[in-house]
Amino acid sequence: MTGDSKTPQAETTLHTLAGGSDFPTTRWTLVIAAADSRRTEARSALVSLCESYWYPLYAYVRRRGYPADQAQDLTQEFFIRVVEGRYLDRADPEKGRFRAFILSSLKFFLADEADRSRAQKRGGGKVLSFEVSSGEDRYQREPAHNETPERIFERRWALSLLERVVDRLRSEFVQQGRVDHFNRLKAFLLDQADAPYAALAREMGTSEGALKVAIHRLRKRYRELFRQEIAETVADAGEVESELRYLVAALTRR
Amino acid sequence: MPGCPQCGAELGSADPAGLCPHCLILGALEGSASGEFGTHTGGPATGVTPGEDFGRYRIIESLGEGGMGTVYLAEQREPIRRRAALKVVKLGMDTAAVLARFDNERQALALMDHPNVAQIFDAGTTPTGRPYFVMEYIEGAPITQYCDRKRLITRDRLVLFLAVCRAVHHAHRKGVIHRDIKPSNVLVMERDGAPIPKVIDFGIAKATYKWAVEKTLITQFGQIVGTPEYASPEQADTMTGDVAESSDVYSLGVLLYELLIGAVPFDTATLRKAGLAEMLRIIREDEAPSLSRKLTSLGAAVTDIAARRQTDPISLRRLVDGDLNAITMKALEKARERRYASVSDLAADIQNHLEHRPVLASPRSRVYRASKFLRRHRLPALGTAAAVVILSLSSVTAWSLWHRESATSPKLTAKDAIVLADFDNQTGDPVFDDTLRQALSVELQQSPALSLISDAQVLRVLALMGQPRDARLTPELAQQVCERTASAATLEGSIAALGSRYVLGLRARTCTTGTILDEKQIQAARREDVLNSLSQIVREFRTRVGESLATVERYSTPLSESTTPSLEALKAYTIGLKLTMSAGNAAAIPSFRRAVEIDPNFATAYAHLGLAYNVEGESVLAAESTTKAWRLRERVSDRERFFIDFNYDRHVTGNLEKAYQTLELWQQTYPRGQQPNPDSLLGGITTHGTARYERAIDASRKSIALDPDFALAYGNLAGTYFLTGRFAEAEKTLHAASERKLEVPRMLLIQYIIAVLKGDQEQMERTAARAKGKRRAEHWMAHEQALALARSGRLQAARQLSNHAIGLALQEGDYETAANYQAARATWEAMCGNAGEGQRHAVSALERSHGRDVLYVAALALALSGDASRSEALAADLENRFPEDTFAQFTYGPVLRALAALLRGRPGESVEWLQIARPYELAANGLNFSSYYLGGLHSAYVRGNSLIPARRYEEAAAEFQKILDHPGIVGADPIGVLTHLQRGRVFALLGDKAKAKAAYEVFLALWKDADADVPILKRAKAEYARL
Repeated sequence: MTGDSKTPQAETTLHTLAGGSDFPTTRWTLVIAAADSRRTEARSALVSLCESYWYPLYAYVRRRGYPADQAQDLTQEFFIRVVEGRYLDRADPEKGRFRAFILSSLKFFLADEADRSRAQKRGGGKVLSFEVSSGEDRYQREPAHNETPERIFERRWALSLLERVVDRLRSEFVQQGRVDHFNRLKAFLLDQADAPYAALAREMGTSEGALKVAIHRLRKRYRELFRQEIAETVADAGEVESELRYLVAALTRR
Repeated sequence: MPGCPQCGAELGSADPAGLCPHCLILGALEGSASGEFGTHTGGPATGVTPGEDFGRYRIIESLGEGGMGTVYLAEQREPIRRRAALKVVKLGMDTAAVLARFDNERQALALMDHPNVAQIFDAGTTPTGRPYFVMEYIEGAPITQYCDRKRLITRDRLVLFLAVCRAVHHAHRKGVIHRDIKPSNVLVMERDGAPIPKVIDFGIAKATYKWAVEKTLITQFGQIVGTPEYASPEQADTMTGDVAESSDVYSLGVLLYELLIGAVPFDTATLRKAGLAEMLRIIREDEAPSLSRKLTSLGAAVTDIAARRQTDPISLRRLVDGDLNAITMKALEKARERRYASVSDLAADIQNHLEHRPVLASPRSRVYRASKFLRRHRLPALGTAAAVVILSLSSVTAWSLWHRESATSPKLTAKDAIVLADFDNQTGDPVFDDTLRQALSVELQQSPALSLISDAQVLRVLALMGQPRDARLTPELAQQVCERTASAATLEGSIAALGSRYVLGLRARTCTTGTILDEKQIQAARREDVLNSLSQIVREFRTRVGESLATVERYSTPLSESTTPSLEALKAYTIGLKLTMSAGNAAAIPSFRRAVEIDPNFATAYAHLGLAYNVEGESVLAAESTTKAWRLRERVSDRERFFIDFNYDRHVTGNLEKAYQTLELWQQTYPRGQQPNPDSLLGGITTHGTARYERAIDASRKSIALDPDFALAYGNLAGTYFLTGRFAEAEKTLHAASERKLEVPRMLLIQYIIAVLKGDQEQMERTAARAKGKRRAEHWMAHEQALALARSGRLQAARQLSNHAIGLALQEGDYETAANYQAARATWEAMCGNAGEGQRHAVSALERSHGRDVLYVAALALALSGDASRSEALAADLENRFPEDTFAQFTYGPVLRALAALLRGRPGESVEWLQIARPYELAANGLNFSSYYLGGLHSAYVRGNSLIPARRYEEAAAEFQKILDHPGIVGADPIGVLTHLQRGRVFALLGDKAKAKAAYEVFLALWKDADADVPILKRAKAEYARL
């Protein structure tokens, strides 16, 4: 059972983001704040969210047992509807989180077979920049053990988010021409990572103190980016930390 | 494949930046260990400040300070009152990381269930951010202190230590490594004067000690944490080692060392003053001094140490110089591949020592083995001079030792089966190993009176016992095989060398009691004579043991085929199976529970327990047991796995389509099987819940044909007929069952509801009376009576019976059932227009249980009472908690969403939601098959109501007609009656006055005895008057 009850620790750690100050405008707040989803700003925010997280949904559809070609059609069709704002007017308590919203919408879509059969086939229409068919390659590399559709979705979601964060972090170093630096220090992003600092400092031609400061900054930035990335998918500050814990659980649960 | 530098996990090609996602995401936690330099220097500050909040726990007193924090005695008040030990972690440890790591282990910890393991109950954080752990409170002393205080002799210490090994071994089998075994984590308590060791703190070392996770004993500031005296070389290795089970073997070795001679290999003072680097080197590299050398180094203190073992220094030294030293040193090997491969191997060797068998740890010289053999056998075999004289009289002498004097000595009968144990070859000459058993087998097969259990059958049974294929068939194993195959006796052969001669022995024993039926020995002068001697002894044996075993008490039917190494557990399980078939699942609960208490890894017994709990209405307990079974499914046979997979989908994920597929596949693979068989399950809710009624009828009929006394199958068949509206056939089936004196509570319910729907008052009363005084049946019936009264508007009387049902269910401990009754109560109150009552009971039901059906029905009542938001929140909870559940996803969720949309004035959206419910609309759901809390077809009822404001009256009328057309599915649900009123309203809107009036009249007739003040009745009367 995955009863996700609010634990006291979740309550007490809620306010770590920006000290509880005003929540910034994010892609998801833009989407749900827009009365009309066809407003350009909201629409492009929604498209960009879909582009970041389409694969977990494709994996979900596949694991629900649809064959590859049908799953590709369904996923494509689903995203077209999402971008059209189809599910946004639904009264949904899950709207606080893009992740929960998009999954419940997908379930709704999959369950509503009659509706789908009424809809006429449409071409991709180039609303979305990603190629759903490329998902099958990735899907074939998924571990074959018996994961439920929900489980594969949540794990893939957490991984997609993690990938985005590490990519962003890396590209910041690339921009400063210090990608080598990143490669040497990235292991310190890991939980509990520890190392002989003196030796590493010598190798990198710097002092141990400077190295520690650099690692400290790297970790700090990593955590900032992580929370920013999550914030892009939720509606208010209160959700960030609990979403983070959810993602941690998704990746670390056995 | 490269590995993660942190946890060693294999990296996938898609992992971000070549880092392991698991450790990477933990690194993102605020204030995780890797987060900040310098945040770990906070003072210890472990004292509990006044007003510190530990949730459900209240601090009673401090029990002491440990390395990682303070331990308190606490009291838990809810859900049960008990005392617990509460460990508060030092401030400065990083709360989020500690809890995240603990969460990782939580499932494994929850699986641990062993009398020598202290249970971990809970973990949490105080509002000030300090993590704490709650565990079973053990009133005891550290094992070393206990043994010294009680002046236990070495043998008793070893017996205690064996229990500790079993506890640690149990944990290893669940995938939990302790990492911090030391005397203060092994407490000994006393129960009825007997010492019981308990290993505490499983899972805590991993969550809190950096070194335990990170393979290193030091923090980044060079502080020593943990307990270096007991740390394994791997734990002291900063570079290479990762911590596995063998690390616990090492720490157990240190503990054994200390129990034996009162000192640890490397004493505290030496280690602490050595400096960090030197300390780590000692742990990694220095060989532990042998026990006797260590004793020498202790000087005068040895006198005291020996005295605490009720012995003197010289005797103690002699005692620990042989096997015990070898065992301890093998556990303390620096290279883990030279240590015992597992804790159970260590335990087995101590057992060997205690039973004077050769220990693995010793070099196996012939003299050594022979001395062991003589020690073991000196009493019966070769103890007396007379026997030796007789032995020497001739080259071939036979004699019988026991039971000769007994005239009533049991004899083997024709067809009595015998299990042949492996020959006990004491000669050291491998030529005898299999030859003699083979020869014995050939000789015995010539007997018309005896039959041998075939080797193939033995192999199959061994697999079920969790034994390897090549397991030696020792007398003990043979005896178990004998019992499992319902055979009569075991036959054990032995051969030993006696000077240049050989002694052959044969012994027959009953398997249930182990009584020796007959025992013979014979001598062979030369090696070449052995086979001849064997033939002779077997011939004599055959005539002597004779033809009758009739007086021997044994099982008349074989035990069921299930994977468990414990015969006792298997017996309890078999009894449970029999009870299931004759008296229903609920009656079998105690037996299944006993089976899993004896063997906590007994997967199939867990599955049955889950099934039985579910029938009892305890879905939460059912899910727990079923999940346990599912986690253990790798251990079982194919047949069992089908059953476990089915149960998992049926009771945990709720994915009935998958459950159904498993049943069909199972049925095809094993068309004729013993219980549980797929046919009996195909007659039940999996098939009803996916609206495959004809399949269900077919399967139940087949079950009954196979076993006409199988009560459950009658219940299922009657249930299917009832659901499909074939009431006459249902009653005929119930009658057939009662003729055979078969009854399960559900049969009474079916009979009762049929009477309700027919309006047969007399039959109702007669059936209700039959439930009186029967556990579970009585409150179930009371609930049904309340429902029947409510559907005719007699709310006062209904309330009384409902109170009775709820009260009785609580009294009998059926909490979730009580919650379901109360939720149903909330629903009918709300349907009749009493919104306040509806809300009150819904809230109170939710306080009792969060079972799936409770959630749904309470949410339904809340929506019907006008509280759309709370109902929607519950719907979301339901969908999240049961993402694959057929009822939750296709019926409960959509109905609740649709109701909320309707309440918010969006009938179109409501109808859209109900599209999802269509595929299973005519299927039974969790409320109406086997529980009858309410009925089905809620989706049609809500759809009908949503179509009215959408002005689609014709369609609305069709929906209400659907409800009337399926009385079995609706059952005693009040919607079955309220539908008449709704039809009246729809016809009025359509302008068809005649039809409208007729419908109102049906409703008012059904409500002729209703209480006058029911709001909906007043409205109905007013509307009728206007017509």
